[in-house]
Amino acid sequence: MNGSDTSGGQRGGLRFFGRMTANLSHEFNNIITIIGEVAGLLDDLLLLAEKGRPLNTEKLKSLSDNVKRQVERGKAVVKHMNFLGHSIDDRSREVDLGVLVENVTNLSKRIAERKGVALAAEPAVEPVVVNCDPFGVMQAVFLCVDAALGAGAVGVPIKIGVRRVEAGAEIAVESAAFEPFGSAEAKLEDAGHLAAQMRAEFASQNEGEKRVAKITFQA
Amino acid sequence: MAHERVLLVDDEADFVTVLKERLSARGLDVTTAGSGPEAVEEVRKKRFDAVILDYNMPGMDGIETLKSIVALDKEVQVILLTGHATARTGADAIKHGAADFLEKPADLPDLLAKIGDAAARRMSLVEEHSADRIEDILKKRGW
Repeated sequence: MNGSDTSGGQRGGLRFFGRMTANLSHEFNNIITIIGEVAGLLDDLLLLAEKGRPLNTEKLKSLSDNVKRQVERGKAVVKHMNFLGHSIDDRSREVDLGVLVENVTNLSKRIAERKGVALAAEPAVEPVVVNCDPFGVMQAVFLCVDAALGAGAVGVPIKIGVRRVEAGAEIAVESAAFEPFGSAEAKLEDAGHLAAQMRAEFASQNEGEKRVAKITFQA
Repeated sequence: MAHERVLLVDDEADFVTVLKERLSARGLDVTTAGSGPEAVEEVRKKRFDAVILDYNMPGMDGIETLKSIVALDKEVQVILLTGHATARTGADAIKHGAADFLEKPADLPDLLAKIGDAAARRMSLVEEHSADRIEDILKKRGW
């Protein structure tokens, strides 16, 4: 790996980190905005109560439920942010790929939704634990998703699954928008250093009707 | 004085519900839409003094919605709400026909002031265009 590769890899990693954190900050901002509006409405109701209008307990209950919903959203954001933040702690460690995929899916969901694309992680049947660079793998999964979005996947759903295979394990990103051996592969070349780091092999191929980008892990 | 007719467009249902209630309590006539296409449909059906439009929406985003709305109603005043108001976002919004923009979360007094300004601008545009139309008619009839 030469100097320019490293610099390109670092930039790619930073770009990924930047997109994820920008997305999370947007989600946080929406949560804060809603809580702010609920507080404003409570102020309005209190002002009216001071002027003699009785407080409506049903209304208060619905506002309280709204705040609770935002707290749950906030907790989920913190969980995914924490996973992303700690993904750069170790170059290599044992990772449950199902948990990793669930996190990348949630981190990228809004980016996909902006293009009208439903992004979903298929629940893993069993824990699939491999030794890998979690940050690199998250980036690689996101690059596959981004490649599908870039390939004009407006309205075309993207599914991400994790499974054990004979050679080890694989993460499969499935989208009808993929061109066989097309854009997803090109995108991953930008992050070529990742392949070396995590011994991942990428292939975009037709599986019958399915078009799948795979990241494989050798046992 | 007639109440300002406002269209509130955002995909965050909880935000739309609460802000609608707060604006309605202040005498505004509020209609809501949860997406760009819904907003365009509302503008097709009804005249609004101001449209409060979220910049960052899934599918048809704020700028695309803005362009469609402005194409339908030349006098409508769109206030773009953005989570990260930068000079670039603002300039982009104005370039595509927004009357103003405001950063989320916005203070209600600021939003109300912008709605008031927007309604006044719309009124003067309507008067201006009416005067132009009358002048055209008079010219055509040679009066």
